[in-house]
Amino acid sequence: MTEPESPPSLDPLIHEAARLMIVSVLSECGSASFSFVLGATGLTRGNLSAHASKLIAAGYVEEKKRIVDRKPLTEYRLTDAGRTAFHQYRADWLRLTSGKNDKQFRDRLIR
Amino acid sequence: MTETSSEMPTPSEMRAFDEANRAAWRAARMREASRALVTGHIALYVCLPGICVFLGTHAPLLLLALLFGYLGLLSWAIRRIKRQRLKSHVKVTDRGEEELAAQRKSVRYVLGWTSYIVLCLIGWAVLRRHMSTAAHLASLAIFPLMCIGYFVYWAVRLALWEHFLFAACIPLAYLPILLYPGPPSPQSSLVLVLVLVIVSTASMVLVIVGAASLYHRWEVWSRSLDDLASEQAGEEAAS
Repeated sequence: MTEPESPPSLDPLIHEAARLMIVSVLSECGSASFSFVLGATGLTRGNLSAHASKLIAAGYVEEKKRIVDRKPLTEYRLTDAGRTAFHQYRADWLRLTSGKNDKQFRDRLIR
Repeated sequence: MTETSSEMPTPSEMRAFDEANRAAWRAARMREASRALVTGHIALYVCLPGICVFLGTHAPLLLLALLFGYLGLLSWAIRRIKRQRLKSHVKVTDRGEEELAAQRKSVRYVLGWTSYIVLCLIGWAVLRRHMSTAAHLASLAIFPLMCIGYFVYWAVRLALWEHFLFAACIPLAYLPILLYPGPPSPQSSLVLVLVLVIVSTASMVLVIVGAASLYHRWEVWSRSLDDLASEQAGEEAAS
């Protein structure tokens, strides 16, 4: 008898709501400035800095700082590892929320 | 949110996922608006052969005026964009730009495109002798049709009407060639030529209007994001 397939586990680093938003926004861009991510996600500056630091430490996001017009400009870019992790996260999410668990999932949403 | 989850997502996690999807969609719209000049040019270059063939035959002076007007407008737009980019701290690039800038795939892109175009030209030159007029026209229509599909896809995905306008301008640019019956001898045919000249001109003007409107969206967005960022910075400094 074959063992039942275990449900996929979601990457805890991306699973957090704010970080999921940051990674989702960066997945649509090559690179994006701090202000751009701030506007697209609706996070506060402090929140964005803190969560971006965690993603940078994990190697999912790359940060580039430079001076433009005598003001510091921070740019973020999703690394290849970050992009792969995000695709994996989405695939796991879709597997979790579809198929045989559909009814259970709908029940929980209704509750 | 839970730290690690291998269970079914909770409703709040589901909402967070939806919110992230919406944020990604907003980012994609803004990114697309930021490259309005590039998108507008793709549309214009697809329309240009149709416009040039018809106007070049029936209204060459108008065509020259349009092309010079366009060049003037382009240099003004580039100056304005440069100024806006220097002032703004809201910047975004798409993945293609990023890869080209990093020169990671530029050689592959250039080689791929060059060989594709060379193969198309050779194939077309060889097949042309054996093709009927209908097949000839159909082969010429492939690229404009692909571009219409591209613009419709982005218009639907990002809900930007400017892309629909770009898609509509392509058939408009080629319509005069398809509708024009032959050399104008009677007066009725002169009216038809006049109408078709207006249609041809309108397609070029509409592409420019679409690109300008798309870029205007970007300007409004980036200005509001700049204001938001400086507002938040001020609040944080005060607290």
